[in-house]
Amino acid sequence: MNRWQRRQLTDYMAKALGTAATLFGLFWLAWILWTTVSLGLPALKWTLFTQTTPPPGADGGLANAFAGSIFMCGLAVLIGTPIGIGAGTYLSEYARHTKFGKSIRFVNDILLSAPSIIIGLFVYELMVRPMGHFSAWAGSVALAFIVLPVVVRTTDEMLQLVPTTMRESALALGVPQWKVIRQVLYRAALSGIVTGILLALARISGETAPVLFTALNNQYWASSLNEPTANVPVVIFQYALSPYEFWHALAWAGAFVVTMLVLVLGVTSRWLISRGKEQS
Amino acid sequence: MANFARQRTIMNDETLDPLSITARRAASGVLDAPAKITAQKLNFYYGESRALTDVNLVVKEKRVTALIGPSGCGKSTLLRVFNRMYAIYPKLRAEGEVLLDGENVLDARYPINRLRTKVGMVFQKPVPFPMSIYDNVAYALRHYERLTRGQLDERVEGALKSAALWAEVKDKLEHSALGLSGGQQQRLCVARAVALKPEVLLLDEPTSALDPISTARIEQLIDDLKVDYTVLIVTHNMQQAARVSEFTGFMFLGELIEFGVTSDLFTRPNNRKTEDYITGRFG
Amino acid sequence: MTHPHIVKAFDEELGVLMRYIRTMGDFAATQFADAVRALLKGDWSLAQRVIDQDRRIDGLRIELSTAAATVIARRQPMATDLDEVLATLRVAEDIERIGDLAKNIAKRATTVSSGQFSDDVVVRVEELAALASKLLAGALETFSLRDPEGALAVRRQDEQIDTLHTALFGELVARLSADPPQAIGLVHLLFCAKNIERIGDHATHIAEAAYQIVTGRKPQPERKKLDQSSTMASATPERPPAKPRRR
Repeated sequence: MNRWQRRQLTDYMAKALGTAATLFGLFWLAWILWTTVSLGLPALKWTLFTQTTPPPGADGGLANAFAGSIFMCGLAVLIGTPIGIGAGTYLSEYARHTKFGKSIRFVNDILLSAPSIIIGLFVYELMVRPMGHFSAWAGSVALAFIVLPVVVRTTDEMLQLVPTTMRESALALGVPQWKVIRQVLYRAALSGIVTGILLALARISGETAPVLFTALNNQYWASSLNEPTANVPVVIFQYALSPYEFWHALAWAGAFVVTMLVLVLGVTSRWLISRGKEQS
Repeated sequence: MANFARQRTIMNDETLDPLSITARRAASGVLDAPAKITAQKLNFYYGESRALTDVNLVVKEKRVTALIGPSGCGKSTLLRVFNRMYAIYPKLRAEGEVLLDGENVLDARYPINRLRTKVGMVFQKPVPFPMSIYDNVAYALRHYERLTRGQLDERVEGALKSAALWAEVKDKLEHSALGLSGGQQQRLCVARAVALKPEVLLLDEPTSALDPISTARIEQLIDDLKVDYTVLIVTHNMQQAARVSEFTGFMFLGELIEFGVTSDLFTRPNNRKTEDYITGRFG
Repeated sequence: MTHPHIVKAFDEELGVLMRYIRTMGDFAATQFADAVRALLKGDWSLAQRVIDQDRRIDGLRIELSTAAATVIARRQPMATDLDEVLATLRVAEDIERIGDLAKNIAKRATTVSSGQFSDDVVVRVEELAALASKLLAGALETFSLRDPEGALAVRRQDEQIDTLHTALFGELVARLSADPPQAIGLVHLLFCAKNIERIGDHATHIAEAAYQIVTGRKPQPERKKLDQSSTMASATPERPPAKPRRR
């Protein structure tokens, strides 16, 4: 075999291996989705969204779990985003190369990869113990702690990606720095920042450990936010380990809905990034 | 046969100057123009290393002054001192004096934003803001002046006309500025800079990212702008400096080696280094 | 008509070059006319003025060269722009040569006195000079207007001058042998006639340059050189002129 043929063979083999690896990964993903759909199918009815979590043997849905999750995730994003954007802006615009900035980024990265159960425990000590009971507030705060470092990191990086010339052009017009940030830089980095928020949201929608220690669960509608509140991950946890068939189906259905949500959020954030790239 | 007497008057016609139009204008009144910006013993530092050494420069009012020199000679650095652009970077500092109409603008007490309304800047790479064309031009106006919608429209139109862009964009002012071509974007940046009616315009290699036709348009624009503004342009294209400017300064390794009337500097430079650079023997 | 240049100063600079050519051309034409008048009327003060004024053309040519060099250095003209600039330099040389020839005629004029020549000789020289003047004026106009048809017409007129000059040459040589005391005057007249013919040639170069700027090539066919004075073997009245050799 001459040199040319050997190279061709190597090329072909590399391609084959790469394709095989991809298919391998996709295979498991496909299987998971398939399993989720097929096992959750019996429970995929409208009642999933209209009826509350049932006692064993009864019919029901996951309405209160969805509501609880939506509320807590929404509140977590509302708490975490402004603080996160503020901190990210500070890091990018005022402390980009300082020692202080570097240490904040370091700590942020630690928080970003902290095990979520630690965060749950922390908020348990911080809020649940003093309050004396589980609550939706505590659940939201725990999730906010997960949202925060993601938003800080993305905001910092997206703002750093805005070309220096744009900053300088705006400053050269005599406009003060904070106005430049608000009116020009945020607009330029908008798609990236929103992507960061969406990714954070996708992450917390499936987090179980933090809510386990803070909001626990509730079979019925919580009458106030100061009570334990139902949420999808914990319900899945509870129902999956149970011996009841219908509960299994509900768990799979819940898992399916969450997976779909994460998928939609992921696709949306990719589309936003590509639109942002087109415009620049 | 033509009258011999008539020929005599034509022979004395002073308009047949041996130098080109620009030099002709230069020779007629350039030395009379007052100094707009005077840099005195200007030194500039990146941290510990010195980027500009003892620069003394006079930029005359309503004239075009060009700065040429090889890469890294400090011409862009010098340009950016005049609107204190370096102030946003902590490791950069300037020592010495820069007088704008007699006031030292490097003094910490001189408000930096006021300086930037008097001294506008256009950068090498055209960077329109992610907004509509109208908003781009109106950006600084909205911050500094309380104008009615009608007045704002007039100012925006005036700025776009000054930048020779009005005819091309007047029907799409609400469109995103990012949809314009490179040459148009650069003219938009000029419009943005002149909207506030500054007194001085600093141009940092304004055409090096543009095609020849856009470059020609910008050069014609500079010719029009110098009626109202003092222009200081940094360029690495010597022919451009020879075409557009009345005064040229040659810089090398952070020093201003030679400064003078453009046609003199390019035909009979005093300094050996200047001659070597413009004839392409080094740099 | 094509668009003007985007940078207006470029058009202005080219206009300056053209104005130089026009001025130089007009001045050379005047010099020529004055020189011939000085020669035929024996007007020595006019002749002296022509001689003194000649350096002005040289001065203008130097200024034009500097201006053209500046245009080339600054604007880097391409295609037709470059042809134009180079053409003005060539034409300037032709005009300067015309000025020199006129000065030469004026110099010779200072050696003759009024009434020296017989009327018929004067008339024929005047005729030749008038034709050459018309040719020069026509050539300058076609250059100004960039008129290729006019340029070809001017070229044809040069043939007339050549023919006329050949005849005049023969006539003057015949009179030389017939009238020895007049010899020196007639010899000067001979040289002047030759100068006038050469002025015609230079004027034709100007027209050819005009043609070349517009069409990008030299005019075809090659110009017929009908002047046979350099190959004339004898012109005595007894013997008929030698058969002109075909070139």
